[in-house]
Amino acid sequence: MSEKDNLKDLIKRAIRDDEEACNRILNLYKGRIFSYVYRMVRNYHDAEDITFDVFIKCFKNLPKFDLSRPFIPWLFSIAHNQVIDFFRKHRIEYEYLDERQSTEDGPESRYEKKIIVEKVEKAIARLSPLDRELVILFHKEEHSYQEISEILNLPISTIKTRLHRARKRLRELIK
Amino acid sequence: MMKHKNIELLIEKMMDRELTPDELEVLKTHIQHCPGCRMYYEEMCSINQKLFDLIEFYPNHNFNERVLRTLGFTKTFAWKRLATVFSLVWLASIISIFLIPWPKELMNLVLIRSPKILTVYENLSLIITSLFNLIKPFVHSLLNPGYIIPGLALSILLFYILGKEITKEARCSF
Repeated sequence: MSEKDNLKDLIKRAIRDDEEACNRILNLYKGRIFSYVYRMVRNYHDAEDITFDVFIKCFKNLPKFDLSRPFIPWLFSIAHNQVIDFFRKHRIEYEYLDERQSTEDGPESRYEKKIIVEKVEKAIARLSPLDRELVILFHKEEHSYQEISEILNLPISTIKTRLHRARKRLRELIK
Repeated sequence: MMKHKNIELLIEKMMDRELTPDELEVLKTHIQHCPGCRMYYEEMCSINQKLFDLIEFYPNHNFNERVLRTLGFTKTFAWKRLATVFSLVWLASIISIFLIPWPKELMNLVLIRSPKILTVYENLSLIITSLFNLIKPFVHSLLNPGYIIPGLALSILLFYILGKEITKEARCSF
């Protein structure tokens, strides 16, 4: 059985209230979703709360999910909407650079200093939330432009332009 | 030779995962002779790799349980555990049937030395007797495993079905 069929089977079982299937879906994707959300909001507890809401929404809406469509972009679109809600609640500008976000130096960043990719993490944190999201979805999660367009509900041309600019900015920040 | 601006565009296309094999050839030939473009190419490749290699973060260890509990699976956890514990106790009681009666001298020696063990022994006897009464319909002869094993299997099956039913109920109420 291919990976795609395996996932479809898992989703079907989760729709039938199979606890084991729900648990496996959580184990498969909680790391990816949490990492994405954490890099967006830069706070462990907020990221955990948002990830929690993402999975609750995911399982509640699973019966409505079209099995012919890819599951991962759908899950990321839920995560994206939750992050946008969080930004709205906290009055954080999504498309433009928010200095409160980029200059924060909390306990998480002390931990990050220990890791090899510290410089990249810091550089990503200094991008605007939208650019940060594009960089993570394209380079870390390896989504296609088409998938990102569906997740963010943005035209591909806009995504490309923003991503090119974001990469150049990252290059300057990492230098 | 291609202009540096065009090479920069090719590097961008490479980052977009849209570079054709021919374009890749042009790019590679150019960067062999142009240190400026090579440096830009290497920096962009390095950024690409570093972004891909970013570590994965994880939520708290009880995250799954929190989500599943909110979805209404709590009772299943409790019932699954209870069914497992009960099945194990039952198995232990059946095994103990084979061991009883224990050597009287040994039992007396142990019980005299520690009155606490006597209390535990009395309680255990009570549990074992009650469990034994429960499985009596399955056991016609104490030493015939042909009755005990199907009895045990049937009981595990009953607990499994019971657990499933409770899950459904919990989901409906949610």
